[in-house]
Amino acid sequence: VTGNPFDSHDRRRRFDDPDLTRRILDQTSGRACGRAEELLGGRWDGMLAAGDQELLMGHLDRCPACRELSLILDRLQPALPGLAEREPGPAFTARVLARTSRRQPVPNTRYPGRLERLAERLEHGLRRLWQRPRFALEAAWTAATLAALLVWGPLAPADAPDQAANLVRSGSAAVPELVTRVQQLKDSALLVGREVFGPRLDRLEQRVSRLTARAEHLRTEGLALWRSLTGDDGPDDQTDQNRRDDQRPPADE
Amino acid sequence: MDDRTLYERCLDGDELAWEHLVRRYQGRVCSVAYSYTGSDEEAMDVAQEVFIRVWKRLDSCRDPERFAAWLLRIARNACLDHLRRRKARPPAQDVPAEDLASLADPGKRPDADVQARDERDVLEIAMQRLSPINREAILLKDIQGLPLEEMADMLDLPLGTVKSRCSRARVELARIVGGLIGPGPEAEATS
Repeated sequence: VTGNPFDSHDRRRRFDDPDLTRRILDQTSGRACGRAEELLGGRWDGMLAAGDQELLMGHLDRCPACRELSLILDRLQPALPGLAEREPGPAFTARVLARTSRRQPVPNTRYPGRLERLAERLEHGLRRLWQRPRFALEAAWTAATLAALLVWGPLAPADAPDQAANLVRSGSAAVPELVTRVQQLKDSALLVGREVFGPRLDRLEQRVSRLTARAEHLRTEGLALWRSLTGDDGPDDQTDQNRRDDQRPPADE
Repeated sequence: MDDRTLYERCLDGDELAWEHLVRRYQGRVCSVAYSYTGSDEEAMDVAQEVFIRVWKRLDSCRDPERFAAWLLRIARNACLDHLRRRKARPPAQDVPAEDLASLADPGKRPDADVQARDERDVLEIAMQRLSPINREAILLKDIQGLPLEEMADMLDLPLGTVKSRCSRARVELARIVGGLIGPGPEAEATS
């Protein structure tokens, strides 16, 4: 036995022997290093309770392995954010931009995604329909069917077939009447178009004007054909013009 | 300029804003991609893919204040997709097993001889030696600085699980680093 057995300080020092602690722990709960590691790993988040902190410090004072681990962890904590970025090189940005920026910008809509995609699909579908080669033919068939429905359909006025028949019987005299009605239709369409389409009105007006010119051309040719076939003079151009002028609404003063 | 403003300008089609956003985050995305792939070349490819995905889905970021977290989530998904593809892809040609060792990149592979003692190199090697789950935890929490709640949401795990995973990952990383840099003076004195 070494030391003075009556010296309380010396006695405490001997009883504090780490070997004694290890021997006791080996026969009871086992070493506490596992629990210390749990706390060491969680210490970075700053959520270690005061009691846990005290117990951990007590363990670190006596366990060199855990103290070593703690020192490494203390060095790692400030170093890890340094890995947050990795320089990809100057060509990277250019490559990414080349593959992205050429697209149309994404509109900032209130309902991102759905409405935008729906409108895109609708526009695409209409454009494809418009560009089909047989679109004009199909549109003509549809117009003819609609006209037939208007004349002979269940909602048509009772005298509609008679009016249509009279129109056909009147021959060349009906042509100026038709042109006048087309003109009226054009004016109504422009009125509606001005309200609905706004800025696209100019283009629409140009198209309708071209259509009217084409109808006028057809009328002239039709009259010439009629005259050559029947020998009938038909209504002269001047009379047609006067009739159209009479039916136009007066110009604003 | 903050992320929200940049994001909104990008939505309006401002290409300068998009360029700025790419420059701001390309380093982080490359770092994430490198952590998953372990290869600079693959990391660049994946990072490029990430930004293209982001551009295509730019209008689907619900909270522009958390743009970085949203970007990291896309980056993580792209990396996992890449790893799945890599796993499924057969090798271009058969390589005899004995030749594989000579093909390995000695500086970057987990089982390579560690020559570099630079702190960053040591950390990168240690990261590559971590188990994938622990590497992801360190990457998202301690490197990219995501809050625990954000991580739990991203990984679809309970908050407690994420906390304990981070804790274990740090200890594993510290052990690996300790192994790489050798015993400290205290351990040497003890032994």
